[in-house]
Amino acid sequence: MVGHAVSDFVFATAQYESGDWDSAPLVPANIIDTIARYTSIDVAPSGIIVPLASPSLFRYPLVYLTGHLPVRFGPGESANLKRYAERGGMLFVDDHNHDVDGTFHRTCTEELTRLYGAPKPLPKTHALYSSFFKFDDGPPTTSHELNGWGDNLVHKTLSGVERDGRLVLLYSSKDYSSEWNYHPENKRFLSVDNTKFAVNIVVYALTR
Amino acid sequence: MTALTRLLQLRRSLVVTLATRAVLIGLAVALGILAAGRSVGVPWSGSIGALAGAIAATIFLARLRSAKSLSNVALWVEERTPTLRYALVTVADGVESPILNHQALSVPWWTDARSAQLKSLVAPTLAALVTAALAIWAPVIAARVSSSARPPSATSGSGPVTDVLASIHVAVTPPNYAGVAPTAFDDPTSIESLVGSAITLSGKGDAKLLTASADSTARSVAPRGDGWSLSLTMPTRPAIIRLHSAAGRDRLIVLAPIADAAPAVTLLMPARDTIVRRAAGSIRLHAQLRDDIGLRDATFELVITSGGGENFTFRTGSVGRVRINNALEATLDARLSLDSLRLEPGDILQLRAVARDGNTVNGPGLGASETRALRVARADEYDSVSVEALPPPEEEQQVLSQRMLINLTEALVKKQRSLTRSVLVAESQRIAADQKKLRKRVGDVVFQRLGAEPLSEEGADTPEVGKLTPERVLALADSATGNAGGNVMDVEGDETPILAINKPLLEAFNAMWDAGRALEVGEPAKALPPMRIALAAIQKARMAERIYLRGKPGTQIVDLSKVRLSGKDKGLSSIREARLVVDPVLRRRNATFERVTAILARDPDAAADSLLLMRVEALGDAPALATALDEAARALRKRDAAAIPLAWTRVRRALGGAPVQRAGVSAWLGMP
Repeated sequence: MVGHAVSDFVFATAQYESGDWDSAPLVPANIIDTIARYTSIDVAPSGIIVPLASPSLFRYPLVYLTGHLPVRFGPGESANLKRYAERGGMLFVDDHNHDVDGTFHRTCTEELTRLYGAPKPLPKTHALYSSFFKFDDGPPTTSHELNGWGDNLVHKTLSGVERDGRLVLLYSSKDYSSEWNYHPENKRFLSVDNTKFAVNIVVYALTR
Repeated sequence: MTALTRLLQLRRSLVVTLATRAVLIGLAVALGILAAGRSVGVPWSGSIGALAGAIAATIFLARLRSAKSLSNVALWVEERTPTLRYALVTVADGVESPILNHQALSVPWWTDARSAQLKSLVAPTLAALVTAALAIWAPVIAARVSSSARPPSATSGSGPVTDVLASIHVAVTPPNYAGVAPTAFDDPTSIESLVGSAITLSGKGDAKLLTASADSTARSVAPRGDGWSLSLTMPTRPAIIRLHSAAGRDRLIVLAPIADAAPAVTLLMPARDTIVRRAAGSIRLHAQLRDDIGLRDATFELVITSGGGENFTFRTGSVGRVRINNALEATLDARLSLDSLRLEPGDILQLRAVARDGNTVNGPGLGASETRALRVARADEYDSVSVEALPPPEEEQQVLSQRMLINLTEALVKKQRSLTRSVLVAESQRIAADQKKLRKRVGDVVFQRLGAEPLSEEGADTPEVGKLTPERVLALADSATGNAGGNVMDVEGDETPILAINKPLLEAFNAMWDAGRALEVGEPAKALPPMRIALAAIQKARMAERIYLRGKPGTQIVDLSKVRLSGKDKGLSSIREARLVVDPVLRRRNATFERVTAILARDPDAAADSLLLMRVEALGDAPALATALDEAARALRKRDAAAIPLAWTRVRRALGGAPVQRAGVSAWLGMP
């Protein structure tokens, strides 16, 4: 937090004790670039890594969690995550494996279900898909899905847990962590910016 | 009829009248006591009334002794008819004389005597009737009097109260697995016990006069002896029991379940995550287990992760399983042979201790320790201290394309029987062209890494590079850097590090050459094996480079001023809404509490009921608030004027959380 103005939105990546939490190191910079590119949100120029068991978790309205390996939250992490949702935070979890019923998916959803209840599929009409850019077909498909990488499946929906009409957990099996894990400078080579959906996630987390 | 005969008739009727009067008086006394007893709820009032009535009747029956004497009867008549001038008394004494007889019958005294007898029965009869009516209607009258004396309940309206809810006895039997003794108590506002406990509520009065519901689900009230009983099982979530009497009175009781906590498990050994060069020997596993009720069994769970990048495989298992005989505390020990796990470089062993309790109601509860990881280092990362964050490697893009080309070729093979030769060749050559482009990009990657110029441009007329050997690649790189004599880089052993990494790419490059030639001549089936070899080789190269290291990745700083609002697309900013700061649950609870406060003075019973309803909701996530609400409801029920303000303050504190200290001087101090 040092060096960031209080009003800045700081993109936070969750550090948890099990698993490879740092498997997508370029995603934060890419999302920060996208936020600046399309919105006037006061965003900090670099992201932050926040341990899930740390009280500093509550400084960040949106926390991004990813990885490939089995996820087991410790007691401190579990208690903090539960309280985080109660206090209005939003946890964005992306399965970096984009497989069906893989170990990350199984262990992570098991842990999250224990904390928040079972995630449910989000309809295409969910406010998340129109919070900034309009995604009429639901979550954008990743190139990995289109090219048959991994499970050869296009995951049609994201899932989540809502409290009082707002998402406290957004769970993705689409592997945005691979899709967005490139240096923002390379965005100029893309005909269509594939990170625009990240703006929707951030704007949703900040305004709902 | 002689005077003596009439006097004898009068004596008989007087005896009957006196006996009847005594019985009526006794009945009135008995019914009066019964009515009084029922109206104030005195037990045994019926028996007491009967005894008192019998005593009263006996006292009055004693007067019959005076009726035995005929002279006394005659005197009783002479008192009412003085004109007889003792003629009748003289006749009663046995004097026989026609003159006396005539004188005694000169006035019709027997008429007055009959009316006097009847009048003496009127008052006792009326008393008996009135007291009988009181005995029948006393509870209803008492309830009306009571309800008019207290404010109406918000939940029940203004109906009268019956004694079925006057006193409620509660017996709680915890589930068998808990091994806890049953408890009993009276008139609770809430019942706290383990989930699955058998709860029996009982009270006095007719069961038909009472209905019950738990969270809007009707429950049957059964008669038991001279009272009623209601049997329930403690649910997993807080609930409220609503007892409703026929007289219109409601009684709310909160069911506050105590959840059987999951076992607390602490993994003591291994104490921290570890990286080893070689997974050999054995390690000691040690964990400490605790539970609030009793432990059933425990084990160490293992997950072994092999692979890297996007391809991981997992093995799971468990060691050291033990059964624990309902002890509150235990330790779990095991020794894990790493040799038996056959861990390879790059593999990760994750382990944790897991314990289950003996909960047979909604369990077993599962507790797990923190997870420890033991990683076997790869040989190529012994000297590695950091991984520089880079754009995705080029070979990842190639592997995607190669996979697409394989899919296209497989589809072509499937339908080739239905195609003419010329169409087949054309389709195959189209794939070959894509394969050629891909092969060139792979070649570029290899050459650029070696410092050489990329291969010729696509479609250029320069001669195409065929299969490459590592030596030829080195020679090309050597010539590109101007070195002569083959000392382009330090070489240790048989293979350079660069070659080690790029060898799979060279293999892919060569396999693509074979695949391209087969596709060019219209033989897609023959092209598939080398295409698959190329895909596997690219995968291998990608895996060789992509290493995940635990630790802080390099900080990426985005030049915000450069990219600010440079995006071509515009979003929809108008639909955004301001975010509410306060926790919505807390906000709703505060609003409810304000409404309760508003009706506190007007209707304390309704306020107490509302507090109990709030308590049911708060039990799950705000135990401190739930306790404060229970205290406030109790104080209200008891009308404890001293306790109510204190309880109210506690509720407000529990709702508001800890006071917030703000920096600086507040505006209300009058500062400019």
